[in-house]
Amino acid sequence: MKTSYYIYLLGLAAIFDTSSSYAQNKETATKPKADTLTVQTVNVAFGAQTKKNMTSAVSFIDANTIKSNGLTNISQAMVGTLPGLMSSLSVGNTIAADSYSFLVRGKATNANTAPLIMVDNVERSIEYLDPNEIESISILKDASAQVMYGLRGANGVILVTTKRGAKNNSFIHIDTRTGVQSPEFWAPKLDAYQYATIYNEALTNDGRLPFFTAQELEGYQNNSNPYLYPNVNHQKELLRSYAPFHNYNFSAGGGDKTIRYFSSLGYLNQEGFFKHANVNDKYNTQNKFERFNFRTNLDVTIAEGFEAALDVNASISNNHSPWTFPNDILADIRNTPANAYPLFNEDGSLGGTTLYRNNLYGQIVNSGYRNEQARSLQTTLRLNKTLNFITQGLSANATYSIENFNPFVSGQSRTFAVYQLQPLVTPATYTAYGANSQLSSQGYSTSDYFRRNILNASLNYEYPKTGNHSLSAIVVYNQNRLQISGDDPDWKYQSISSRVSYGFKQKYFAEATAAYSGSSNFTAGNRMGFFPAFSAGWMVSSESFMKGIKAVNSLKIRGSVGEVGNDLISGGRYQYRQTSTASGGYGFGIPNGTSLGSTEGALGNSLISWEKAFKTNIGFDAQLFNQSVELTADYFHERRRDIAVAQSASVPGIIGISLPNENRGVVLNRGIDFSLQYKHSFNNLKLYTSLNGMFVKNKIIELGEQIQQYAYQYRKGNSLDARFGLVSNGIYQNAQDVANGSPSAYSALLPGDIRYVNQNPQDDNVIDARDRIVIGKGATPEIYFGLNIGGSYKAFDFSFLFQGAANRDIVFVPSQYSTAYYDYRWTPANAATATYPRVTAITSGHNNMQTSTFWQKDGSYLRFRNAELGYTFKNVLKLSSFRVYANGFNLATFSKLTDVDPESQSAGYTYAPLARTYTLGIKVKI
Amino acid sequence: MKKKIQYLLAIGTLFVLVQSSCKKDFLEQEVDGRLPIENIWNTTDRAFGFLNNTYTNLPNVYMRISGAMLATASDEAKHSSDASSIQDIFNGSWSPVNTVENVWNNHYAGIRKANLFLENIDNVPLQKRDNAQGVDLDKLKVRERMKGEARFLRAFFYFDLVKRYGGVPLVLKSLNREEDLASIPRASIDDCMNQILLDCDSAANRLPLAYTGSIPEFDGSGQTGRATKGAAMALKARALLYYASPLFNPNNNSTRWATAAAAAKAVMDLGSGSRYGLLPLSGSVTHNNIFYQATGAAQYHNEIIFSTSYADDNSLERNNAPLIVNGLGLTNPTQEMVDAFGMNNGLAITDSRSGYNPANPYVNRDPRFYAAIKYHGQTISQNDLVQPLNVAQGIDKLNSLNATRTGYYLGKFMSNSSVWDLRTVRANRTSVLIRFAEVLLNYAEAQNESVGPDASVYAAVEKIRQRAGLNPFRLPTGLSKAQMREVIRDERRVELCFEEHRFFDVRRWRLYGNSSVNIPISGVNVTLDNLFNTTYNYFTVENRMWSPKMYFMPIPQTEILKSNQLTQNPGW
Repeated sequence: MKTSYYIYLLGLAAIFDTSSSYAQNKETATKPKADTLTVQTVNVAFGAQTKKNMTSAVSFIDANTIKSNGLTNISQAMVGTLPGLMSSLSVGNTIAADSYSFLVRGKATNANTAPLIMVDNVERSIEYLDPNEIESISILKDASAQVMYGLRGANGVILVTTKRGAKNNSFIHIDTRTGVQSPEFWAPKLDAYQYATIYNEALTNDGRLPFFTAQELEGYQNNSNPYLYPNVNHQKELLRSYAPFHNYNFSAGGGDKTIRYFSSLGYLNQEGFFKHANVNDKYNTQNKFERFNFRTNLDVTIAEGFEAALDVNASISNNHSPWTFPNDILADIRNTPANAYPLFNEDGSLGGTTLYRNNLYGQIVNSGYRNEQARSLQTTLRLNKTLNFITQGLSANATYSIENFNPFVSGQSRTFAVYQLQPLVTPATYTAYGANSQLSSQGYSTSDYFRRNILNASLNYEYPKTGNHSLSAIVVYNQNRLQISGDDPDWKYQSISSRVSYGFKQKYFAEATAAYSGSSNFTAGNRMGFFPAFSAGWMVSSESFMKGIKAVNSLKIRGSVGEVGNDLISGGRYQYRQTSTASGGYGFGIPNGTSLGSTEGALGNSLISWEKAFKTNIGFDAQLFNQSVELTADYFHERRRDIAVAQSASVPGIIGISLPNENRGVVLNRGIDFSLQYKHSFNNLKLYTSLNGMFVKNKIIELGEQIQQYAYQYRKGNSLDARFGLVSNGIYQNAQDVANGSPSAYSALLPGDIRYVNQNPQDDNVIDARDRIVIGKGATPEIYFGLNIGGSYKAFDFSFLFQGAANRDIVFVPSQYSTAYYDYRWTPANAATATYPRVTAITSGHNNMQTSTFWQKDGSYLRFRNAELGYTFKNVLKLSSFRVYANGFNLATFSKLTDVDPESQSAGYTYAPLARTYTLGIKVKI
Repeated sequence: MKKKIQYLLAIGTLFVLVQSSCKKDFLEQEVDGRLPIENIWNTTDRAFGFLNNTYTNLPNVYMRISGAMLATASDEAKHSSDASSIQDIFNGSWSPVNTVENVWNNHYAGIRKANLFLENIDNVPLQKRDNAQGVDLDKLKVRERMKGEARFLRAFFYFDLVKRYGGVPLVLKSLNREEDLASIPRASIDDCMNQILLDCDSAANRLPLAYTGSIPEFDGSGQTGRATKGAAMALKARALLYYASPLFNPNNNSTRWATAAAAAKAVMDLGSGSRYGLLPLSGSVTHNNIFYQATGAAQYHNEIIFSTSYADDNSLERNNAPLIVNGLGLTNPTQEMVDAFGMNNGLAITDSRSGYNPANPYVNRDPRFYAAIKYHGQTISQNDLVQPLNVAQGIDKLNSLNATRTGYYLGKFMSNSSVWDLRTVRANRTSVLIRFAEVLLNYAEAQNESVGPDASVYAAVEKIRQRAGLNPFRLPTGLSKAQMREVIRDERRVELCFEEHRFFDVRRWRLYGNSSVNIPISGVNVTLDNLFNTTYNYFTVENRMWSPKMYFMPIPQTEILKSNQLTQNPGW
């Protein structure tokens, strides 16, 4: 099957005209000794600038980095590769649904912190983009770079640029890879005897009667009768340890004077970890994610100086699974005790009890199947006309773009019966729970449907390159309309923004940027805001006094200051007015009648507005030692004000109505980010390393907090993520110990329970919510870094990526029925060595399960994210290059935690595990 | 030519740009599906609807507190999960920061609605008609009635607050953000009670006796469920009873008892004594049918003075039925509750003549026992399953996973016909907020305290015992005032069990005196030997902490801190 696919693709490739030769377009970038800063361009808001001219703080990665680090989507490629961009992983409910959320330079608000994402200058979702299509990614980090986006820019901007065809540079790439994925770990579970023992112990500890009889315990221990005394290793019985992975991409680009094209066709196939998926005749119940991608970017020169571009990007994905959601099955596998029921009874029927009616084998095999499909279509038409007849260097551009995203669920579902063996009855008798049904068709639209219409229009001016002065200017009009199903009315944005850049003698640079930008979320007269920024750069190395310093090839100092906004405040849209509803009637009359109703909405706040971020940035870019070292570092400082905070914290409840938020919050956020690159060639060995990192801290100045009894209860002065909890002080060892301690408001204390520090002994001797203080930094790291090492030796190439975070902590309260808890739980016998508290049958709210320093762990981690080894054959089969490679993704994670992922604590527990992926690939260039 | 086309295109592009950027109202929302606040007071439909909505703030006695009944915080029952927050009320962690039950915001939201209605309704234009007043007379009548409803509801919310917290801030107009809300202090209990009585009187004057009239909008049957004259008078009688009780009447002002008795008597005399009565029981109509619709127990029958609206529901059964019939068994009556039920001959089980047999404790008990309690050996018909309840073995065995903690399950309120397995069959149920049996007991209590156990006190209590099916239902003659007080309290405990009365009754009576005590809650451990002989061993399920500060509830700490004037109740 796989081989035939290869041959098909190769055949397809052969049909294409391969006469025009492939030219390395990277060559310009690696040509030694040239002034690389004037050659390399970086995409910025609605344009591109050479590195030399840049005065704002922007991080940048190119296609090579994206391709080798983005296994299935481009988010993966942004992790650890871009200074100033912080990622956090969340695993999904199915195999391929892990995703990253990003922060540009940390957090400065308790409301929405997500960066604005733009693809080819229009707002887009990037979830379903194929990494093969991407040319570059820029991160706009300071006010100067963000201000073009006005009240949407404050959380930073991610600019994605897709590949385009170039004149006389045609190529065909075929990339095919296949491999396996394996789960990083599954949550460890107890066997039947251990479970029954600990359950009885929990009940006994609580002063209740044991549940499992001695006979049952013996049965579990001896495995004497697997039907009456089941001991099921669900993970072994139901989950496999690897799953296949396939990914194919075919792309071609090229063109001539009139038409240039880039086309890409991709297919991705990832399977999940269920066993027994092939049992049904007509359908498979494996969890399987498939995605098709198609993109064509077309450029047409209609006439001299008049160009049109048409970009079409389509993607179709399907997540196939049992009808029961895979994460529900995984959570159930995790939560079902080994002795709950036998998967199969002696007569072959499915096992179950009145409490456990969803036999796990049944959920995988007999619940039917589900297809979650998502279709995304993004099209853009762009017209560009030079207006040299008005003045030399002037051009106009108009862009219209539509994005349509349409998710849909279809499938067939059925129910199934489970049977419980009646003990001590012969012949064997079973009680049935539930019933077997036929498959029935299901289908529904999910609520994530959306459509986006965008219109951009701009005037660009480029001062002809003569003399000492350089000048460029742009004015952009933008309007953006987003329709989301169930979210009425539409989200609308409108702005006019402008940037003027000036350079003198390629030495002194200045840039002024401003936006007048509005959002439909606010009231008329209060919805448009003005956002200015100013930045400047000084090419120190071009000064004559630097001429003698050979080690320094270039050195530039930059600085910027400006104000940007964030309209996604907490409390939602339309807080400016009080509304009413014509609902909420009451059922009067016989029989149950109805009546009209009306309700008043939350009071209005006519002044409600966006958050304002005042940002300053100071940085430098240096090239040293014959350009083998490149260093960029920035210090940034942001004061975010007008953060929307709740009034309920300050207004007494006797007002009897919900209140709108008010713009009163202030948060400071500051830090540094840097990147350090080193390149060197030793004969045939070419080596590069790139280290990037960030240190960032925020501090709450005001967040409209409720008046607290004690100063230590305030979040003010701490960081947004600061964790509040109890301070643990060991474990109570005996009754005397308990008697001497402070009683807990959470549950009655016994030896083996966690002892906490009473923070307000002057007022009470009880451990309660008032004893919670700041105990940790929270999950957002203060230190975040990535390290990329790569190079080539003759025809071999290699690349490794590490990413890590530090100065963060997590709270993970393990299940009492986990192996670690079992081994180290407190009992009177092992009181001295126990590291976990006693077990209890109280499942929530118990003293021992409170957020506290007892369960808080250092959340620092280092991930070995990616490794790739390749070998390139030249001139084989008349191909311009033929590369074989091996790639490992998510290879290892190092942290102080065991059996839990430092970023996503539900991974392998109630959600899909993080997958390690090992692939082999062939990449052909024609 | 080509040049011209380019010019035209460029000009066209610019035109589009200018056009769209000049379209200033791009950010204006065309239709946003939201109505302005003024709409409420533009038409009678919307304005009357606003009053209708005020009813949604009424409480419901079923599983109200995070899945627990308030009864599980009194000596009536225990919640099967120790993790339930209801446990906090008596395990020492009840506090202003952990109020467990917090009606403050809900009730003040209801009060705001009533205030807003009263402030605005007279300015709402009534439909014009060609008559002397120039307006629709039916609407005019409805408007006056609704003012009565608004005042009744306001009184209801205030009384519900006062019985918990004592005096509370008395807000009689809608507040806005600009006012100095932090400076509004708590009113005295006297002021609150006076306002409640004033509102009740005003409401009683405006409300019809029943919704059986001929003007559909005003007093037609379609309005059933709204407050009535009787509801306002009964609420007043209840408020006066509390006001006369020791907790609210520390100086023992005895005229308060007389006033309370008179107010209750006025309800009993409504419609020449025929407006309200006790629901007659028969084989098919049990005591539980007071709370849900069945043949012989219609919606809003004569015993219901005020209740929430009827709704189809089986969550009560699902939450409380034994595990064997696939319930969750959450509410477990205590042994103390079980022992409070006498025998069917009207005698207490402690009475030597009662015939109570400790070896067979569940025979010949008060018929209400069989409705209110599910006990070992009882045949359970629930969820389309018929099973004997076994708390000695199997899934419902005492202290098993999720099983009963006392040896009993709840039976009261529950319908045998509701089913939640595969099919969904529900009971049409209401949460009764005031019923006639309570009025009789309120009268008996107040009258006994005021003038002693006269014939009318006997008659009121015996009426309830007769309806319950006790035989003989007569009380022994010649009871002293103190003896009669105990009889009334016992009767009240049994008749009104699990209806959120006991929790407040023990408080207003100051039943636990002035010191901190432990209140033990008991259960039964039923064991079977090899010969299937059953033995009943009684054990203490838990000791509940009581301290005198608990006579009033803690005001939420958040409210105390937001106000300059709001004072906390003593001891909290």
